[in-house]
Amino acid sequence: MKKIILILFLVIISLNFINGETFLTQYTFGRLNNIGDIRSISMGLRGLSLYDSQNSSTINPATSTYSDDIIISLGEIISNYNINYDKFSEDFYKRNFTTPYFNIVFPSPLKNLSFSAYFNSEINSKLQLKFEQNGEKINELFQKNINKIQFATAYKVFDQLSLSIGGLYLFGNEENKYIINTEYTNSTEEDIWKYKYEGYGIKFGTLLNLDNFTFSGMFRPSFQVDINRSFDDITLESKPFDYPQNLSLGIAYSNNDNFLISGEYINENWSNLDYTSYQTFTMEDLYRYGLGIEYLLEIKKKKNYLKKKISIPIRTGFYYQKGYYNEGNEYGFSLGTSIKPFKSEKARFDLILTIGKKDMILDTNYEETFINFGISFNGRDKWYNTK
Amino acid sequence: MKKLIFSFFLVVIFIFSCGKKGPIELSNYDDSNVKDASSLTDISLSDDFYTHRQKYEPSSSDELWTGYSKNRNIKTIVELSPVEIDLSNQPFYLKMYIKRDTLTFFDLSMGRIIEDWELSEITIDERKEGEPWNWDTDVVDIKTITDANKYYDEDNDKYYIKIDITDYILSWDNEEIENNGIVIYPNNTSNDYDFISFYSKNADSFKPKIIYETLNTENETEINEVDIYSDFHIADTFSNNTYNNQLFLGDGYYPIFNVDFDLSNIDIKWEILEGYLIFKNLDSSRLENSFDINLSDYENGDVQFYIARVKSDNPEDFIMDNFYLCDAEIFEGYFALNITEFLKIRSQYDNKLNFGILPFRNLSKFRFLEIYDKPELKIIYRENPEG
Repeated sequence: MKKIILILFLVIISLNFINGETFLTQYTFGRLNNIGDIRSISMGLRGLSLYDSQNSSTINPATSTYSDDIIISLGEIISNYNINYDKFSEDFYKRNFTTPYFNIVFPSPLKNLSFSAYFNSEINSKLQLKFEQNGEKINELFQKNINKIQFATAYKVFDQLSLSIGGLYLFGNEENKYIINTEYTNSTEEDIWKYKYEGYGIKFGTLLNLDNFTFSGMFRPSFQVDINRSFDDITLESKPFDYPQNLSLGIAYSNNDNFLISGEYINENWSNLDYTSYQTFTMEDLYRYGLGIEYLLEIKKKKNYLKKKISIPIRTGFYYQKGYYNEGNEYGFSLGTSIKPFKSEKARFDLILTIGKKDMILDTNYEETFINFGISFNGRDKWYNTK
Repeated sequence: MKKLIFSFFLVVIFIFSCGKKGPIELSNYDDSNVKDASSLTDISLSDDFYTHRQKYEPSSSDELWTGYSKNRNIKTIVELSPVEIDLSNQPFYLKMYIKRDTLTFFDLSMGRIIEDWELSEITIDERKEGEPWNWDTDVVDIKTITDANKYYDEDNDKYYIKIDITDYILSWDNEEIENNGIVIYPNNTSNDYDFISFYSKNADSFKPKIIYETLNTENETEINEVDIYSDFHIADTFSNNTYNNQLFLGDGYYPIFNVDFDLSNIDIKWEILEGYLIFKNLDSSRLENSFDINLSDYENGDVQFYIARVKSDNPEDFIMDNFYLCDAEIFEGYFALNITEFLKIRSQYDNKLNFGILPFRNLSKFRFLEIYDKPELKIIYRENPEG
């Protein structure tokens, strides 16, 4: 009963705050700092090289070949941030933003073959601005939602090498509404732009596991995204654009006991984005560097004259991202852990706290400092023995 | 302990996720994407304009015209049915209230029609299809209507005519003479646009009546009124359905214009804040008389015309839709129609419109106006926010 109440509580939180508010979607494709799973993100990573039974990130699907268990991970990160924007005469505005995701790792009954899937709602923004301009009252409402669903299969070619291939489906919509109460004609004008996004891509992953070291790579070629656009319900000409390619490399070292360190390099070619048929986005290539560690802290305690040992993972990490936004810089420190509130060893909650800052030039200087809190529920279960 | 930590994290996440949402109200903020309204801009109307005419039933008019308009002789025909009248109460009068009077000389005639006619076929040329009038012999017992027959109704501030028709009624009572009604027509035919109009049986008030006096039980004089049977006016008909490069308004004439906003570089998405069709060369006095309007009523919004899209501009298949009532205004000293709302439908028709102007009271009158020059179309627009 307690479990049901707990899960219900989590679901309510997720539903209540599924939308966040950000200015960045007006000039970019949103915020891309929370991708992977809570455990990876708490190490400043996306989880490219985390090749162990705890990993639920499927950003590199090749990592799924390790697990004998079916793993599901449902998580959400809530960003609270302060905005310093030169367009505002006021100082800071406090806003928040959420990023839900859902990962599945699914080993197949066939030896060395596994499947994985994820749903990641990278952009869920809803921003409303009210201001007066030239004596007219203007109300702007920007909503954008872009999601990715990935299905992938991975195969362990031999004990050290896994290869994967996956399909990616991008979908979403956007609505930008401008309401102008003009005294000029004593009337209200309303202009609504609507976009529907849809595109299909592929993704390749590899992972080389050499005892303590793991090397990984993921490549997602650019893929075409179709846009159906309308203005005030009038369908306009649609021109597809290429969603940029992604090249990610990772390395991890584990002592196979209680210590793990991992680093990542990610590059996305956003400077090639040709989106001028719709909106003017000035973007740069993304370079992201992440480094994180995980340490299994063991606490011994006595209870009722019995010695007990509690293992608590402590995770921390740092990432730095250059580009993506115009003249963009972003960094973040993160801290995380896991707890197992239930008696089962196969269920845990991962928690994260990240503090960071990003700055860029949108149409003028824009700066955010943010604190992210996140939680995910991870469940594992073994349906069959694949060894 | 673990549950306590977990619960603490949940509460923290919940509290932070309840951060400020909703509209951000900004002061001293400008969105360069929201443009100011334009200055007054000329839009080219095509030189390919014309006038279309539709036929109409004359009997449904709420006015009765007699005189000359567009070089057409107009006559009023009234049918009387005096069966309810006690013939001992002579004399009997026909009382008709005057609505508008532009006659140079108040010099009319009235006579009894001796030939029968068909309402569905009657014109000023034919009483039945294929049977022409002979206005010299088909009308007898002619009476002259002069200023002596014109009276002033102080209570209603209106003039009316009163003519003794006792002999007509007595002759019809003698069943040897067929009652084909009476005709009223002008004697002076030298001036064009010289007419008088009376309220008809279809008007809301001041309807034509047969009146006579009786004595009540207290030996006081009482005025008795009897409704007439029917009334209408007839005039020359025009065979042409279209008049190229000529503009007439009223009496079944619709001036038709064509505008392509692309030719004036007005994007289909832009908002038209104000749009005026300005008529710089027309006779304002004739305008008032023709359409029963007063210049002083412009500001009250009491002067209105219809504007409608011409769905098919083929004269053989002339169809209009999208009817909008628009206010007449004085714009920069000229008579103009405010067609702002109508122009908004251009977005549904590829930024192009064929449209016609119609009087507020359509068709069944001889309200008619010649428009000497093509009107000018001026708009104030706003470029819509993009994206």
